[in-house]
Amino acid sequence: MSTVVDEGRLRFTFGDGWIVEKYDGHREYRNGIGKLPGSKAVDVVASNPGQGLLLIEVKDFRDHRIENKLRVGEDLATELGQKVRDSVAGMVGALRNSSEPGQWQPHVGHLVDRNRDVRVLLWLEEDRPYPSAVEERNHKARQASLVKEIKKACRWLTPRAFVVSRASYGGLIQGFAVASLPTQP
Amino acid sequence: MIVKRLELHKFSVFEKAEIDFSPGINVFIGANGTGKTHLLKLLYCLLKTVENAKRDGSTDQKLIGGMLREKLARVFRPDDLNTGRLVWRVGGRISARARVDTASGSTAFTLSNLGNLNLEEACLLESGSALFVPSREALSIYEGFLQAYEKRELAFDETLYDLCVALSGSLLRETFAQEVSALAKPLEEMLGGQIVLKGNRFYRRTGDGLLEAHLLAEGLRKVASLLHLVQNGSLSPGGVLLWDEPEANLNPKLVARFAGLIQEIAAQGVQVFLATHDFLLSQELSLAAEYSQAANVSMRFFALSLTKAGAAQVAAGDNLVDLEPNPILDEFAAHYDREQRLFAGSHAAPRKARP
Repeated sequence: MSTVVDEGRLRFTFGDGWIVEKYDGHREYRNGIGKLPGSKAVDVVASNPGQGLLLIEVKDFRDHRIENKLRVGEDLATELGQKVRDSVAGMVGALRNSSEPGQWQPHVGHLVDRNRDVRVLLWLEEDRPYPSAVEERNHKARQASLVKEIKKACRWLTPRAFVVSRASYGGLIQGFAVASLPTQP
Repeated sequence: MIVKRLELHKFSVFEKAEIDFSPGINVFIGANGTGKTHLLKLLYCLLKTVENAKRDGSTDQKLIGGMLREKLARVFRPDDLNTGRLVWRVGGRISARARVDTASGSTAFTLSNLGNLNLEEACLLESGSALFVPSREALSIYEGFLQAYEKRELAFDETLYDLCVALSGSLLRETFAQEVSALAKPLEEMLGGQIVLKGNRFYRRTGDGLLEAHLLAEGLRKVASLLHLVQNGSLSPGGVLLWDEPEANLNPKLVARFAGLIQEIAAQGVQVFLATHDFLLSQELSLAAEYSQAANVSMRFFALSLTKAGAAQVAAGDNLVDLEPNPILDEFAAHYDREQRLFAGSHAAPRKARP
């Protein structure tokens, strides 16, 4: 059975085997580490026995490119690193204190076992059309340099950090798809 | 001297190319084997031959043609110094043709695949000199290189020898030195001192004393060479600097400063031609072009690539974004795709636990 998570104008669909939480909106985040001022959270955590843990942060700048343009780069990477840090701490805290610890066990299980995979994915949409192969290629080249930044910010946990958008995502993560939702009037 | 245009016909990997240059900075990017270095070397041979003919007072077209053939042979080093091998190889009797236009006139030649060179015209009105800086730095091999090259056939092309000859020139007298001080200043700042030649060895002089050039980082040796060449008048405003892979052996921090340095050199009236593989260097220069940081330095970018038939083609643009095909961005996007495949499939290969 698939799980659907809507994040702004993006719809993420996870196939069979994925256990998914919309983490930053989760009650146990808000009543847990979220009460500590300054706490941050990634948007989605998803685990799969065969694929490990995926921490997903979504940045959709499609309608706010001008004000957010300057944030693309080091600031964005630092913020992502902080969100990953706080989310890892928050999930461990939730596992200890939750009335339903079972929902956190799979995620934290991946975190504490170095034989299992932990990946961080920044889903970054910018307000750019990519009508040509050249535009799309340039977009990938820009994302490639951002990958270097976010790897630095997440290296304390995992070297596996990556940036994609709808234009650059090759649908390669098994059972993980994304679609764009229509703009709200 | 300002080089305005180069036309090539069946020379090296070029079937046909017409390239209009910027009077400021010209950046050539392209994969290996697409003709970047050959373009720079051909320009150098043309400009240097005319410069040498003018210095020697030669006006005889045949004699200058012979000098040019010799120069091509020693700079390109084809087998047996046979310049016919520089002609595009498609079989049959064909000739290459090249023509360079400068602000003062044109120099053009044809070259048969039997190696016969015919100089069609030569512009002897040029002022300013051309300097070719190869990717290998020259400062540390300077000691003894000139004598060794002159005595034996060393397997180096003549650009390195010419550079060492230029390095051997004596320093300008003070009045002239003042004229080039603006050009020397950014180089001195980057080097963090002065460059001195004692006997046959180069040293960097700072407040702490002398440091052998051999002990300087290789990237800084290139800066030191350029500084010495400015101070002995080999590189001066009105001259042409042809620089092959300035980024070779340069750490990324220095690359960004090199981009600034190149702009300062061009701002002092030196026309610069660069062949580079470096993403960062080309991007830094392109940013300056896009944001007009150095409004007085114009730039032009050229992407070289091979067609399916193996002919080099040249695309031009005012910045990197305008440039297609663009091998540097192609490779970054390909790198991104490779990494995405690894990222998506990384769970398949769990790491071994630490023993």
